Amino acid sequence: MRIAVASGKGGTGKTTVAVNLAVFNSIDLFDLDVEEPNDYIFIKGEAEERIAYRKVPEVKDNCNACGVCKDVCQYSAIYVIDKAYPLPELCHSCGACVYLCPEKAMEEVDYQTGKIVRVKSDEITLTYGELTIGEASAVFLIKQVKELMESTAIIDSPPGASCPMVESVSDADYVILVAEPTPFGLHDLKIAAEVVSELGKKFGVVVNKHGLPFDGVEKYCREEGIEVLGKIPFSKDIAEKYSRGELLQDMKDFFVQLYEGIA
Amino acid sequence: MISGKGGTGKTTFSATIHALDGGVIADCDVDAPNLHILLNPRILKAEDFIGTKKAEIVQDRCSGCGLCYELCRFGAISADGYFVDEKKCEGCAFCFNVCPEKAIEMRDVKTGDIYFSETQWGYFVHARLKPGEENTGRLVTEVKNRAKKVAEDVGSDFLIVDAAPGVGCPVIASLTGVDAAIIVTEPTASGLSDMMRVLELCEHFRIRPFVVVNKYDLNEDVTLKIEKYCSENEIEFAGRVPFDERILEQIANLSFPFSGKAAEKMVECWKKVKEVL
Repeated sequence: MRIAVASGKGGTGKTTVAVNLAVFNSIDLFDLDVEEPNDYIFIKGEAEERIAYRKVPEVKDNCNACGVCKDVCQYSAIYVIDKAYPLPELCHSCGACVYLCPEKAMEEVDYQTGKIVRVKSDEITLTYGELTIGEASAVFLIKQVKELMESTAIIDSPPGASCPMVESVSDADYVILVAEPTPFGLHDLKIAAEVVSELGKKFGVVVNKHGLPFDGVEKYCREEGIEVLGKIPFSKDIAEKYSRGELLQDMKDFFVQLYEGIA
Repeated sequence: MISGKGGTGKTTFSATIHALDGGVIADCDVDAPNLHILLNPRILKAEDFIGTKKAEIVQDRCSGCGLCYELCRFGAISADGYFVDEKKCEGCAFCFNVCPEKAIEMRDVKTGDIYFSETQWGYFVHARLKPGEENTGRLVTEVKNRAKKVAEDVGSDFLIVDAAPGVGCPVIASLTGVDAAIIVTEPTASGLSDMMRVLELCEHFRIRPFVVVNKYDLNEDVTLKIEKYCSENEIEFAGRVPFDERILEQIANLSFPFSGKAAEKMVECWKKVKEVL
């Protein structure tokens, strides 16, 4: 079973849940928050890395500046003066310009979109992507990291509710939405729940920082019939452990039960 | 206002500045916007945002040759019966341009709503992306440009742009054209790692960064590490904000503007940035 850990709002505790869930149940972990991967801080071991590429156009000498490539590009990723100049950071690697160039003056070359790292700890293997700074789209890299995924995995998703989050949860069998009990947390939980429902995913909620003086999240879950899978208390001790990059050894049973409850 | 890591306090900080100094503010975290919850705006105008075009196969004209299916890089065209999966379509128009039967049309798709609003303190431009949509960057750019126009029209000295977490397209779209970036970080190993990446992003786009450490007393060792990193790399440090449980209560009760030691410290950090700029 593949379980994705997601949230609309950032900083609600996805990494905490994903990392501890993976380690205490000995399941391999995939950090698909390639813009800001953090799971590596908690999973120590020997690391292997390789460069991840995507295809972008390169212009050959026979370009006559006709401008077809610029006209077909939907992403303003090519400008033409004396010849065509592609802007790889804006390119979506669709291949249209290369195929449609009347002079066959473009070819596709590899462009670094990030790197893929595998870390083997005593308990599990962590695989994560790290997006090259300046790259706009995380989706190409997320797709490549996902290719390494087996049928059992914990997935740490990026925050938000747009394409990177959708790409990260799309192959999951179950989604854990981590929510904090604040009006912000509730607002963004609703958005995330809307996305995963639309994708037809089974999902439940883990309330993190439980004990904050706001009951809206639990009330919403009750009203909508969304299962609350567990609650992690609001505690300075947990926050300090997180700040030092430590696992929550005291809560091992909680994460074992959380997994058993889903799988 | 950027952070790399989510949940470090960008929105709290942005809203506090707005309540102090008014002006114009934009919520460019269009995936998961939160500023409106605090600012309680009166919406003056709402508009649809047509953020993208998607391919549609006109079945009457389709000969079933399969060229579109072969060429689509995004797996958005299904082979049995040839139709487009809207969720996977990137709007690249490759299929539209190659279809020998001219059977493919590019249709406008609404990807969100944009709001122009008034708050008790000034003007506010915000949006909501349709959940699960793409092209966040375009919507962010639209929100930011409109807010800029409003700021010019009303003669505001500054525009606050509250950005999304991460370093990808919505953050890049929030950063282009700004004079400075306030990076709100937290003293955790993740906060530090993510701050380094947004600093690199600022350097890449030649934007002047200022660093604020929120909840600095959560781990003072990491806070010192952040300050040391800033001073060694000549990055302007705007200050540290203490952890304040009262602000959590105020968020829960939506009693805004915030008061207490964290809010006071945020105001100090902002004044420092404003003075330098």
